[in-house]
Amino acid sequence: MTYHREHLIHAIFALLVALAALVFSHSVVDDPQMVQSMARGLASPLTWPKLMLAGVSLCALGWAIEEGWKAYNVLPPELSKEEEALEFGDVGFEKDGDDIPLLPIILGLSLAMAYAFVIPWAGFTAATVVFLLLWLVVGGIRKPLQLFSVTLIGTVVLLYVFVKLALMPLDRGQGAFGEFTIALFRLLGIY
Amino acid sequence: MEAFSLLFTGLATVLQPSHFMMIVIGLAVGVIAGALPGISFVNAMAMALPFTYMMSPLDSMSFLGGIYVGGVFGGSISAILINIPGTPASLPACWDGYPMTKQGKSGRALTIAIAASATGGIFSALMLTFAAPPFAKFALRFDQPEFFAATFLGLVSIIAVAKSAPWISFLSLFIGLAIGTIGVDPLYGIPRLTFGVNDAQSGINFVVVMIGLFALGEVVEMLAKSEAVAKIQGKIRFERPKFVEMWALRWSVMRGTAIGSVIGMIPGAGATVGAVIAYGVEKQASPRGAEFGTGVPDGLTAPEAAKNATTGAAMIPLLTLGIPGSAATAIMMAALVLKGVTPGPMLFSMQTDLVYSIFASMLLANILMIIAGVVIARGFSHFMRVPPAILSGFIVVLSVLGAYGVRNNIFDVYVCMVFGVIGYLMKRYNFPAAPLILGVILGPLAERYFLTSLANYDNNLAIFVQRPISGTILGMSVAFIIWATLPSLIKKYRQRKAGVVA
Repeated sequence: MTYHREHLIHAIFALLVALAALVFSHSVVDDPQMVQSMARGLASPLTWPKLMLAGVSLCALGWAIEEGWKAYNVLPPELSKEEEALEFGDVGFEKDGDDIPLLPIILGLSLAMAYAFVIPWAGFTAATVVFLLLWLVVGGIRKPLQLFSVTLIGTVVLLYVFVKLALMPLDRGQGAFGEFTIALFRLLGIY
Repeated sequence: MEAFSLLFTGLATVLQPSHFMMIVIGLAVGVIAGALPGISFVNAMAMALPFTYMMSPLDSMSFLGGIYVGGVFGGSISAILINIPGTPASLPACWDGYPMTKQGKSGRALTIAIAASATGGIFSALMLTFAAPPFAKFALRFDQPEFFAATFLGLVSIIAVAKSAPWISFLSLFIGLAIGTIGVDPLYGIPRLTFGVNDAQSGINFVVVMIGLFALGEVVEMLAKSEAVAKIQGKIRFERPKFVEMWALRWSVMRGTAIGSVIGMIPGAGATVGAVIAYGVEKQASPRGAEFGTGVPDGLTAPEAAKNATTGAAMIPLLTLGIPGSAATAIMMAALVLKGVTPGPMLFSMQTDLVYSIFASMLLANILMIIAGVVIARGFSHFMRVPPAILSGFIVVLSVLGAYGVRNNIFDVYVCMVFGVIGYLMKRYNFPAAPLILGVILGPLAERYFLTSLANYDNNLAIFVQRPISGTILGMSVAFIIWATLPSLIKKYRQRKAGVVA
């Protein structure tokens, strides 16, 4: 029996989402019975979350059925360019045929996540310098002068704007990183 | 008359050097960001949000309003010159603008685009000025059931954006609504869906989600595209528009402006919807409709007027009801809320000066956009030389700063990163992100209005339909769903009946 693989995968994904929503709806609070006894009238703390998770399950099931049908049946004609443009509004959509290499994307996302998780330990300054260096290398910037000048000047500008002017209490880091950050801020006149 | 004098007072305020500079800087940032493929005006506003933390409410709105107005237009520069829309709203500009460039008429195309955009935007700003206050007075009669009904209308309006994919649009919306329930509930103070994570008790802030989805989720592709997108051939010569030529396009401008002004007010719609619908309508209405796609000025004029006409109109539900009409106005709402300013009908009576100054800044931004558009278009080839890796790297850092700055909590940065990954996956697999963010923003509001309505009206569920205003708004919501989904359902039924083969 022939089927459209992409739509079948969508259908399975949708079913998993529906299942996840059902599981979550039983774990909204730690003690559901105690919470239910607190309810004053029709609505309890559980009402709205359970309604929304039920909505997730329902829509996921609807999507699963639609995709399941498409997987084993003929497909409607393609959207016109106007219909395609209307699909997702101001935030756009991915056009078919956009051939973007996956490795830089995986590297980029991993770098961004690592950057965020390292900040409390290494401090904003050190984490940002290392992140920008690595990001620019992944992005194809190879000239050392460009690499270091953009990274260092950019980081200093951000520190002045957000720490000195906006008084944002950015993480200084722990141990030696903390001491380094304070010393750097004093050198730059931020502290 | 009072409105005119308040507007002039507002103009006098925004013409002061500090406020004026904010508009100019915002416009420049917006046009550049809009013109650069890979960054939409929504991304630019999300990234600019951290900079508003140190500004006054008026400066924040002037800055973000400038980016909004400039960004909506800016995408047309790259659309016309290199056939790549800088923002989704500029996609129609590719269809008839780029063919004009291929015919050697790039300057003329840009001139028409700037003139039409400015006209639509100025009309929209005037409509905002004179229509918002009476609507705000009417909204003072709203109680909790009416606010719930208006929020409900905002939520269902998403169906207008993705009629061909209603299931995943509503799935995205409900996921956003569910995310909005994370944290302590508004009436009982019970933590929900926190799974023992203490930081999650303060909830998931929609600004953080927005920055993650719209800024971070987009930039990883810039990293992968390491070379410049395209080169512009030749020099751009701007032609001063001949009055006779522009006069001939007046009906296209008027149609586009009218469509954009109406579409912009609908919560959930935005500049893209306005532009695409205006193009479709103009194709039917113009005597040269059959030639659209070959470089017909009417095909460029109408969507350009429409998309800038949505900017002022989208601010009407934001300022009068506190319900953002689009992702862009959601960011503006975030800026106001962070300053302790609550948008809604009370804002018009308690901070009239601020409101009219915001109106004046929008009007001024649309007038100054003409100059910004010409200057940036001329220098467009230089901006295109900035390596995407450098731009995207600093966008990530600004996203981290933006997320951290909301509550000075590193947990928000982690949430932002997670949503960045989710945002990329959503974009890659064409899963709509806008309904999700709308759900995160409006969900907590809807729940609060719903619960307090029940508490105030003796747990009477029927109160939402018994009260005439809320009943009417809910009726409009149902009619909206039917109007939006019925044509596509009929079309699908006919196709299945006819046995259409792919």
